[in-house]
Amino acid sequence: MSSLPPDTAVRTPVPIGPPRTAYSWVRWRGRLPFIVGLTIVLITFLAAVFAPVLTPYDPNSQDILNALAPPGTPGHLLGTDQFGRDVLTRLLYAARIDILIAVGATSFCLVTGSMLGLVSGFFGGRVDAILMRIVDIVFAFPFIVLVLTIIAILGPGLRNMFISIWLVGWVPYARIVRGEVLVAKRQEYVLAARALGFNRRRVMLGHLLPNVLAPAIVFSMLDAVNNVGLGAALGFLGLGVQDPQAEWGKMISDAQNFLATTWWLPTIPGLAIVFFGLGLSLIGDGLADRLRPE
Amino acid sequence: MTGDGVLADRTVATDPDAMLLSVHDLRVTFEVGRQTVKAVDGVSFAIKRGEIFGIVGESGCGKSATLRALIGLLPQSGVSTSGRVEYGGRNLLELGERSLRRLRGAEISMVFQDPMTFLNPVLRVSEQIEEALKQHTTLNRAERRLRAVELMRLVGIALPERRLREYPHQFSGGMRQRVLLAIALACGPKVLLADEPTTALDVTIQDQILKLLKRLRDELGMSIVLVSHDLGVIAQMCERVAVMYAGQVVESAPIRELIRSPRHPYTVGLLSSLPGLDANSRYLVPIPGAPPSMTELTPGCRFADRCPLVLDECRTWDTELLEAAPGHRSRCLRHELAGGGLA
Repeated sequence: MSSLPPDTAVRTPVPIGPPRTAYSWVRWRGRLPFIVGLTIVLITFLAAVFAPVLTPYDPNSQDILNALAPPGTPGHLLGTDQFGRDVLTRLLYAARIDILIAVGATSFCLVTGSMLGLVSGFFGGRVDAILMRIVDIVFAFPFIVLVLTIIAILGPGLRNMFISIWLVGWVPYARIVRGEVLVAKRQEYVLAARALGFNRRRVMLGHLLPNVLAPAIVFSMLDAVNNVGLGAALGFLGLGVQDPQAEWGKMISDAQNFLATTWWLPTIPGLAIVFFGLGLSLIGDGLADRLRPE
Repeated sequence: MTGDGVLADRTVATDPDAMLLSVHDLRVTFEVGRQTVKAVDGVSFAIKRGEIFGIVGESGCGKSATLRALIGLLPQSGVSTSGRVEYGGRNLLELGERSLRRLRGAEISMVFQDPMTFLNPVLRVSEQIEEALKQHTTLNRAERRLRAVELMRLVGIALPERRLREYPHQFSGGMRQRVLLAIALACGPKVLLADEPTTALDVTIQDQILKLLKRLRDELGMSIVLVSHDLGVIAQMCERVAVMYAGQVVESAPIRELIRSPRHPYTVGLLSSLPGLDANSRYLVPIPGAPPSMTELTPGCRFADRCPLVLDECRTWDTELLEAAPGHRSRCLRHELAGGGLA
């Protein structure tokens, strides 16, 4: 007995757990891309909202005497375009349109596509067959060609651009969610939900949807990047936003004639697209890690 | 206690008025490709108020299918069900989906084998309990919250307020089974269908859950149908038991009698393959062979190929449950020999 260490020695609290610094560093490093992405998107968003505060100019007002001024010109931080419009001002106002495209076009597609995929996967049978054949048909065409065709029918403009993206863009969501539902509806918690007397709508919306939505949300971030690119491409082709409204793709196309002399004019909005797109992609990446169900 | 022979009276001995739920000649067939599988083939039993009734049998003998058929939880396509399930003066097999939904979770609840997969991973425990209440009761939000806390206490979960806010993955296996029980009990069901509720748990947790089930039966006065492959679990819990083999009930009896004097060779085999503590049972005695293929069932006794007492007529008779003793029925021509000759 006397050889045993005193009882108190055992009771001395011993720090347990992984070394704190290393642990928190790992956690922080894991979340870094997500945080950076969020910051980028937030900066873009705030810049768009507070555009009138950040610059004294109107996006369409011309300073003809100072046309094609290089970046760094006093009073025009990023220079001016061929009409003497302040590039920074147009860049900020353009962000409003591009964010609208990213959010508006994508969220509609996310919601409708997910719902149709959910219904298709859950009910199966004829409903599934019809919906998925439509999806196959839409998928068979190159995305941009279909969008261009619809705009060609409806006529150019921002509103018609939205309509054409909505008509085509829900398709991948439907396919993603349907695949998830096919797996999830065989899960036993669905049986358990039925055993509690829940009706189909409650099983579908309350129990299946939260389990199948994660991949669609992750995809929607990538899709938002694509939609910004598409909006820019349509603006570039003159089918999206119309003059004199500022939009990043439109700014690039307006500047293309001056590529040899004032290379910064198309480059600046190009960088803005890359910056915003990178932010959305990083958020998508981060969400992919976080939304994985445990 | 000798058997009454082949021509014995085979009517149900118990008073039908006392029965809460009775199943008559339940048949479930699955269409698998071109073949039909008779998963449940003429099962009958009845449960009294406040009774724990056991169904025991090996994997694939039709236990779970029987249980799911009772409340219409089998898949709709490729499955046909016939027979009668009487509850509250109605035949549940003829009820529409809407009426069945009103019963499920409210009057007849179910707990399942694997608490890992039967809880929705993305919903908080509170949401899952309260949703059941929302479906079947008129309680408001605050009352539902209170009831959820009460239920968590009832099933023995400490710190209910805090744990309600957690997700299923934050619970251990035993705790998850308690949560499943809390959900099943939320609306005060009269019948609890328990499908292997302890199979996925280790032995000490299993014991806790079984004791909890028994306590809940005593406190809430509900009936429990307990399905298990473990005769030990059934013996600990049930008053009466049905032994299933290849989709049929082969023996039904009060549990003590079944263990003391089994009257079907399959039951005898099950009993002697149980591990025991005494020196004589150092080695488990397996039943030789395997159950028959459910797609190619031959007439006669389905246990014949594995049976040590098999006679030629075993392979040809129209099997039925014979009265071996009062309240004790066996689907064996030689039931008077079954217990004594082997046990």
